[in-house]
Amino acid sequence: MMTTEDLETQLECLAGEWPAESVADAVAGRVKSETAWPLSGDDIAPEVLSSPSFGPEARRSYFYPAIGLLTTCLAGIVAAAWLLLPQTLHAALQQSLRKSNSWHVTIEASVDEGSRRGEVWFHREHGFRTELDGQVTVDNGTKSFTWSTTAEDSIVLLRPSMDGIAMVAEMCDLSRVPRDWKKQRDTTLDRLVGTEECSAYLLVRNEQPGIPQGAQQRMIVLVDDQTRPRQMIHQTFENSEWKQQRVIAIDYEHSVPGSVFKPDYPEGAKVVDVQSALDERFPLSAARAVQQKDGLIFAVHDLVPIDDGTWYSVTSVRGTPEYLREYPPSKRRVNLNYSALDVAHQMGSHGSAGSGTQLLMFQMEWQGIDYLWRLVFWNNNLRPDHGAGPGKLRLPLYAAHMHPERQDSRGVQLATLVDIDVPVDTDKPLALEDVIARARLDMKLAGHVAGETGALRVAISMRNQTVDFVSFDDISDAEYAKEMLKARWQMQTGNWRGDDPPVDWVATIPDADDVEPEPEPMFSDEPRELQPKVTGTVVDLDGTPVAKAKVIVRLRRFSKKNDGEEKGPGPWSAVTDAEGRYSIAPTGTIRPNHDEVRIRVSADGFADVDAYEYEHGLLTGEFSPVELPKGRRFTGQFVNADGEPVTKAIVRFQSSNADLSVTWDSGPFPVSRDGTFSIRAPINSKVAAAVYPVQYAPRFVEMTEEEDQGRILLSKGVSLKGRVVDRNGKGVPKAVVGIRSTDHLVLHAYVVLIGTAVRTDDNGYFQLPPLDGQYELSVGNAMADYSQQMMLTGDAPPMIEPITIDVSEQSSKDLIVLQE
Amino acid sequence: MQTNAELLQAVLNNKDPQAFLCLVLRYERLVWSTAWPVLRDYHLTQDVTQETFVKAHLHLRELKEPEAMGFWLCQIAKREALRVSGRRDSAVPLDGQEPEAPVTDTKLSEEQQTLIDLIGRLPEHEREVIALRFLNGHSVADVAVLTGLAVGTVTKKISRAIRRLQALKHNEQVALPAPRAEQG
Repeated sequence: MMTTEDLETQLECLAGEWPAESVADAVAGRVKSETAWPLSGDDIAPEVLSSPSFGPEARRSYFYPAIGLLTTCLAGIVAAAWLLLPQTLHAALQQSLRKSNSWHVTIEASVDEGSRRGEVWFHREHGFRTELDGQVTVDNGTKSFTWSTTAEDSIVLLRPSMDGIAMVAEMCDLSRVPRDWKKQRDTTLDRLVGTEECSAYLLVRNEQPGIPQGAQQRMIVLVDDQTRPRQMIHQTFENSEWKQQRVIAIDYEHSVPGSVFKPDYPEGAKVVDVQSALDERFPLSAARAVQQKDGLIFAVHDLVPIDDGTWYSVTSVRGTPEYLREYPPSKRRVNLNYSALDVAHQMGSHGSAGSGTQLLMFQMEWQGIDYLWRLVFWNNNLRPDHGAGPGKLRLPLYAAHMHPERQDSRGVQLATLVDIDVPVDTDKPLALEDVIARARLDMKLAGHVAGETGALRVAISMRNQTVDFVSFDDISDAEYAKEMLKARWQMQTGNWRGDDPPVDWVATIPDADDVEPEPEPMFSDEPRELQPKVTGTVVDLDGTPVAKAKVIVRLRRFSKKNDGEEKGPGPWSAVTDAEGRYSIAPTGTIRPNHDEVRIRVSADGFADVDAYEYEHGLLTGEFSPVELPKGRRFTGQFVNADGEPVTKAIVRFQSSNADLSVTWDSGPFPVSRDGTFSIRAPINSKVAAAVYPVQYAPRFVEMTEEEDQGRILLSKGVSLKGRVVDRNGKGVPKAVVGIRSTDHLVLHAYVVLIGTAVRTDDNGYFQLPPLDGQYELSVGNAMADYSQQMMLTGDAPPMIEPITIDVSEQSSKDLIVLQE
Repeated sequence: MQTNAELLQAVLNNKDPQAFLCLVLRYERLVWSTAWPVLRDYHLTQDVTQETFVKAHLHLRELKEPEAMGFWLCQIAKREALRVSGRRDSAVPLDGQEPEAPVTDTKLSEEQQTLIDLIGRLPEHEREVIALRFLNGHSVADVAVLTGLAVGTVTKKISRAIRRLQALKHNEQVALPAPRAEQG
């Protein structure tokens, strides 16, 4: 869990970079514009207050028009407010621009090589035009045209209209002037801007000792008689003098000829409508192969062999109309022009999970479709001779569903896997450079479509891990091909130090027989047969084998339908030999996403360990080694107030030593039939247990130094009922109510708390187990049940704030209501 | 630091606009954190924050306890946010197209969104002390003055809120996948 210090630091960072602009000046304008000094009965006669012409509705009817009228009158006051209030310069500029019918902005910046200049013209009736770094954008209020005046290829990008004022504010990049800079009037800097006498204000970064000279900076803001920013000069202090970095000049109510707003792009330029460009490049109707599964449509748009044995593929995945209706995608803003729709995300081929058999070149999402460009090679699942029939290649594809409801019982995103047979022509393999050139054209188009911020980078990555980033414009096809070859060499040789491959290195494709078969990863829910024999080892923390250790391997099978766990195959037990090795002979199947493998090991002189093991072991035949810390025994018995043993309880021990080198968790296990427990925990550690008894209140127990902890008293507690209701008072069914103790025990690394969860019935009612103490109740679609070490899942409820209850102040007759 | 009572007196008796703006600056982050988790839309949250203060200004005389200002504003903000949220959800575009899903604004990083969401899930009395202490940078002593609580109580409230934030954050993290038993 995150430490208090970390959280406090995060809060302080949040305060330092608070994302919202102050509403103070806007509120100031509104409270001034309304008659609205705080009303009281003394101010206005009651009959007037209740009359239709002065009621709340009447006030609303004139309130908004009044704002409109007063906006103009108050323009000066509001614009001046940034001088007095902590509104940012960025916001003040936007406000002034929005209030003007036309304007012209010039931005000049010093850069290493000289200077850059940008210009923007705006007219409320015509639209806007920007010219910056050889790129022109003309926006006529309905459409926006963008073209480059320097690029060789004459392409004009056609987009829907944009917010020109927001755009120019971004171009001015005033975010470097935070609100906490000191603002002060400086009459010595007053001067004419154009023909207008302007007053100067200085914005100075708050003094911070130790700031190096070059980092000291200030902004001179010249404002006109309407207190609108007319010129902003950004300076840094270098070599004992203030040096100009940027000058932004604004000419309000500027006379601009209408011709400026005509899209005068070069004759013969190709106009690319970014809305339909990718669809036109990769239409579904022209895909090489298409397959539908689980509501997703997978398409292979391109699949060509390369002369070094790799394959280049372009694939996509999208939802069917029915799927999109059932699982509407959420929108995620990527940049000013581009919002992604999250439907499904391709994740490479399933054959790549183990040894890495692909290079991910580029991936992008556009209008709910996920596109993936990659190189696939020496994949045992991807070979021309694979059983797809003559002239076809079987390409495995899989994609993770992005909708929150498409998750399994453990809250893991569901994935769909398909094998698509794609017609291929293997006779004429292409050179890697040719393929790269082909990919770059696509990527350029994709970059245009999504905007540079979102997409114009080339990632060479594997195993979902980025190896290198290469700026798209700074690399030639040959260089890019070299990078790909290097990445492939790294993958094949396991050299991750960033070395270049030897000059004489030639990529090879291993024979099918040489490639070790690997199990398919767990991305589908289909049951998989277990290996007939699975082995493993048990060692101590020094790596010495532990003999005669008892090993029990069991499957925890989670089921949403059965509300928790259901019976699966096993358990299987074994004893380690002198080398610490053991083997089991499991039978049955494992259900990926629903099953969890647990290995419980106990040996004399060691702590009992309940280790989590990935499913992988049961499918490959080899478990990871289990390490046992030295341990000591604790025993005890749970009893009620009458001294009778409490026979039904789940107990979970945790411990940690002071230097955090040993942390240990017993996992939940039941007490014996006489209410006793016996557990070996690591030595030299603080040990505590959370006990979850049936019909008694859960509690913490901190272990003393003694082996026998004696009789541990459990109280009856109070069993409470509650209801989750929406804003209309209607019960919310199948929501999960999480219960967390507000008290906890700290064991160096661990924070032990009592936490469990229940689900509401069809009418929103729920029943809590007996509790004692103070608890927080929160509502969600998934809450952790620590007593079972699992998540309880349900349907997504509306937003409901958590509440805290003190059980000692409640009666079992009370109904706790959690309302939206 | 001027107390809420002093500022309220200045607003109500002297009709001092600056005094009300001081209150806005003092509480706008608290109000924002209350509205954001309901709306998850930058501009709507800004609107609701603004509306909350305009409404508060109109009804300022109804506030009997100046120390309850934060709690009172939270209540107004939550009501306003729910009202706006309902309006947004029920809005039917005139052109017959499907309404757009709410856009999560890029003005907030993912980390900021998560943190403000968590703050928004705190009970109001804890949200207020967290906002005043951390988002506005008031000292614990100042928070005590503003909320009318003893310094010790404020400290306890802050500790409890921090623990609650930790647990909420932890719960978000343990949602994927099931907790794993650690061993030495």
